[in-house]
Amino acid sequence: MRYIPPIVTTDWLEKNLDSSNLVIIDIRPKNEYIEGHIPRSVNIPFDPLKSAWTTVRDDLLLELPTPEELFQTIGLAGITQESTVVVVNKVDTSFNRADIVRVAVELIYAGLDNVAVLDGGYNKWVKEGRLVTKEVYQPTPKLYRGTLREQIFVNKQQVLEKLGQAVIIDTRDPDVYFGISIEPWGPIPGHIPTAKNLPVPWLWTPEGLFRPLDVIKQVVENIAGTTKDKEIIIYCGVGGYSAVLWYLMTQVLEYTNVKIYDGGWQKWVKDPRGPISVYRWE
Amino acid sequence: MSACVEIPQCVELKPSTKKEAEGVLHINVINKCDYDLIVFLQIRDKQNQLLYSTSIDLKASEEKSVEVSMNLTNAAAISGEWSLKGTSLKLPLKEIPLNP
Repeated sequence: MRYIPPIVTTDWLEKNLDSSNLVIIDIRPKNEYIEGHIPRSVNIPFDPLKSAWTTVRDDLLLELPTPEELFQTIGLAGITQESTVVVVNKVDTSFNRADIVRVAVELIYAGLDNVAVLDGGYNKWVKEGRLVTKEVYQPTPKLYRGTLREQIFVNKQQVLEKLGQAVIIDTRDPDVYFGISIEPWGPIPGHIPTAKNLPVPWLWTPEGLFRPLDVIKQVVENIAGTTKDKEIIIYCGVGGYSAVLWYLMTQVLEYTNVKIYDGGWQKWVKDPRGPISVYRWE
Repeated sequence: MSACVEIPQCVELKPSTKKEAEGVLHINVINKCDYDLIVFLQIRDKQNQLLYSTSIDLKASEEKSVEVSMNLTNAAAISGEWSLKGTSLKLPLKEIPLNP
């Protein structure tokens, strides 16, 4: 049961800084964390190639760690089922912003309910002159075991079976969706047939804050419709941007039947290749 | 390049030549990440023909030096790919022009 907002402000975080069940996870690189961080934040860096949050499996980028590894990471951060967890990163790029949400989604996948992301990230915290420290925080490790929410993710076969039935949303940049550009790990242009394009970077302001929720709601409804239990499958290149839209739709806008195709375009174009639509807006 | 994930720039290439060793290109290959990598280096001419290729294993944060003897006036660029050790996913290196 969620009792904290899914997106928290710097004001909210400052007011709750002394809360005994609050755990702040700072996913910036270690050297940046050491230079200054929010008091009591635990540093667990995010790296798309290899980190506590990610692995490369079968040459697929940004794959989930095993449940045991994820539970261990969560436990070492001092998190229990009763914790409220706020994920923090810098927000210089849309990748940094997506990484925050990807970690939040992994925590929810691992069975946690009260997970939030800090809007505007560490940048906004510092810009507002709030308290930072260089003191490295050492949490008391806990033994964490959660119930995995495996229903968040679907595989390639499940997407194939849902073509023409579920709403499919491609969250990559429009030029990649359309087929004008490719990513090095998905060297075939195009998108999954019937997929609509909702470029996730458009959901942030240039400063890295989420756009007003009424704007996000309108954007999402225009693509996905207003029926909250309609089946929706979201994907991107490897699983970063898709996590953001999943989070907004399920945790903020209360859609109830949204899945992430985590393999994304990288997996889709691997053998046996899925059907492709190219140079076309669906 | 459009992408939905930012791959760290793990590999830095620093080419140099020395006056006393004409026809020898030194390339310092630096792993700036905390994990082991394999770097696949290539040198091509202006017609994109392959002049030289090699692969280098680098431990986390390791730096190695490669010496290449060749007619450098033909060399156009150092390019190639790198992989996280244990995977075969190849990521492009930032191309470095020679004789621009």
